[in-house]
Amino acid sequence: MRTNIIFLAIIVFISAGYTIFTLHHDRPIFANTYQQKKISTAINENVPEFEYRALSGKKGKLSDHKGKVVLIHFWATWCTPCLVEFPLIIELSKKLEKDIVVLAISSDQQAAPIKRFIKKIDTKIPSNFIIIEDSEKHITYDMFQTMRLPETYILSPNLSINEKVIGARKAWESNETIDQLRSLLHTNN
Amino acid sequence: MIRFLLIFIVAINALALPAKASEWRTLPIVHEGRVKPIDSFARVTLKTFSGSETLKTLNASEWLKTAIFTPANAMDIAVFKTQSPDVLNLPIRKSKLYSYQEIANGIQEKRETIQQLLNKDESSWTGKQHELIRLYQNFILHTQLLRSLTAILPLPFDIPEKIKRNDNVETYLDLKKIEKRLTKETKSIISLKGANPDKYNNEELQIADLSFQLRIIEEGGTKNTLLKIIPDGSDLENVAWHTPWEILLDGHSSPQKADYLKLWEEMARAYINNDTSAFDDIAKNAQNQWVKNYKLKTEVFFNSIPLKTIALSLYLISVLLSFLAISKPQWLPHNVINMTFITALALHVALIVFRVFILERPPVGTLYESVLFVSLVCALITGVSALKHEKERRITTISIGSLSAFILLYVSGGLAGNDTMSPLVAVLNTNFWLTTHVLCITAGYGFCLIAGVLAHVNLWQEQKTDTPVAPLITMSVLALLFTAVGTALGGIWADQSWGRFWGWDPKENGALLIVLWLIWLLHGRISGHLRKTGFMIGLAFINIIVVLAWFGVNLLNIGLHSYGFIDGIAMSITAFILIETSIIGYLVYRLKKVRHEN
Repeated sequence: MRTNIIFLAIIVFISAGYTIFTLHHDRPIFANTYQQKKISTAINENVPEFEYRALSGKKGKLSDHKGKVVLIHFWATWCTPCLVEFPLIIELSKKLEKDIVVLAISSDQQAAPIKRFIKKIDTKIPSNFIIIEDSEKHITYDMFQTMRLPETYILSPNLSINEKVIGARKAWESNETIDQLRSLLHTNN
Repeated sequence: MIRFLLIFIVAINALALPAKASEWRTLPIVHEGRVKPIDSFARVTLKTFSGSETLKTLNASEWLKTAIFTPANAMDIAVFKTQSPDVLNLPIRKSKLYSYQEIANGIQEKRETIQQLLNKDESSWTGKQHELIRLYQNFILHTQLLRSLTAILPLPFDIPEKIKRNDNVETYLDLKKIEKRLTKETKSIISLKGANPDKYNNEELQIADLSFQLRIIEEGGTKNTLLKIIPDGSDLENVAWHTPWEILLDGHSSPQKADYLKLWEEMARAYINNDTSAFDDIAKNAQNQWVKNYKLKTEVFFNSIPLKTIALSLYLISVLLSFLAISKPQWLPHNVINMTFITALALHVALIVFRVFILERPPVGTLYESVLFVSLVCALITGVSALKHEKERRITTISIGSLSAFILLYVSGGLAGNDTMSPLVAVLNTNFWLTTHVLCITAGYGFCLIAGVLAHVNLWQEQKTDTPVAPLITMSVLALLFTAVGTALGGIWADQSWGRFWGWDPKENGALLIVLWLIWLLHGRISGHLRKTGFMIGLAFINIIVVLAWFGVNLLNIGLHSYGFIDGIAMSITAFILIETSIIGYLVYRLKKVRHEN
């Protein structure tokens, strides 16, 4: 009987100990399992280096813009939402000319429709807004697998993804967006 | 003893040695809300279709490879199991297994019936209609599987040179890159020759067909949500996961994910070319894309060892040897029985520990798990009791533990069909309450069952010797302690989750019934109102009460414990009650007869 009482006491003691412990450390079972998050893509993912040829003929590479906030914007002249969004991003780049660089990568097969479109919108393209031809789609498809246009990646100054915008965003010129991009510039992310 | 264990460990390792392509089996996937190795996904999915984790000629992993990398070949593999082939006019077959193609033909014939049934209330369906819908749902699931990787598989048709030009066009993704060119050519054909394909030459027909095929492939990929193999981050946990089609069509792509998808494309090519070594290398490379996750490897290891089956067999051997030793003590050294029981117990513990490690929660989240756990409790109780006993009684105790564990593990086989090791419903989603209430009450079930079996044994032995009643009292007190505390804790949990301590819910009533039964027996015995035999008979009946509270109330399908509802075991429970009542009746009759003769 004595052994039984000791055995019982040990069980009760362990149970009480565990209960007190878990009361302070209780967490949902899902803590380490999958939970759907409302994020569009991998944040903090480093974007690998790529080279490009601008519409002006000038060659460059992504790392040339390290230290600035980089917007990689995928678009095409045959994509209607892109045509609405494009001038808004140009205005944004004008407002933040020293802080951001926009790489506007076009999926058009030829340069002519791009030039016609630029002429049509009748605005000065700032120097930090670089229009890139990607007729072979090496950047758009092979590297980023962007199949639906428009799509924009916002990169931190260290060229890691801070945000991915799927579809057209109307609020590119809003104060919130400007603050977001400026604050990004002052972080080390 | 040590030699025996060493041989056993070597045997286990031999069983568990991963076959080729082990890296592929540990690739991560999210399925049913949990990150798991693709091996587990393959097993669960194959079990959904065929009722088994392996086919005669293929294991689950190999079957999955065929299904996703070479869908055309997978369509002929007999994988759909049905006991009612007539619902789809299928031929009667001994194996009861049918191929996707056969099911597709049947579904095509019964399309209208299925549509009508889906518009009706499920409760009005007959058994056969339920089977028809089950097959239809599995067919849809299998279709999704076959289409999971069609974006990166080689295209099953030729590309006209006019469209291809100098580009390398092998997959849907390549074709998508030149889609504008294809659209332009198709428009030009239509504007020149109209929409009637009879007027087209061969090349024009090929181009028009190509546009159509591109749409077909894309439609197949739309809403394809099954094969979530691509995470939104490299640490795998707490991120969103996507299927390849979701990546491509819903804008979830990124350079890292594109690289990973290219590895899957290479894997598919290596598999199609039967290049096993290249396939393994690419799978290893794919594995290295993510932060090392030892849980996935552990799970694959756990999958490859049939721990439950080995433990079950050893418990059975232990029972048979114990009975042999009891009837012919001189025949068998007791050490053999002890070792067999200890090995079974060790494997049983390993089984539970693996599940706890993988699921990160107490092992009592589902009815199936509770049976596994209670069987372990039974074996542990008798194991601890056996330590105190001298040789003869030790064998009796081991036989009781082995028998209880064997029966429960065997019964768990009937519930294993739904065991997908998935996360729990929200109301159970707390480690604290699972640990306290559920572990406590299931441990109580274990003590009750051992007390019940012990009562049977005592009723059998009572004629020979004056068996002591103290062990029965001890076991009953422990059973009462755990069930009573467990029930009270359940009330507190119910108060927190549902806003009331007690609601006369069937599950609550079942738990209360066990507590009241034990209180009645113990008070009756201690106060002298129940004599020893009466106490033993009452205790023998506790098994029936536990089974009713544990399984029986779930059949009522009412109350708030809906996560435990089950169907189809009413006959088994009735049979158990009748058999158990007959056994107790026989034991009492035998006891009275012997006493009368004496």
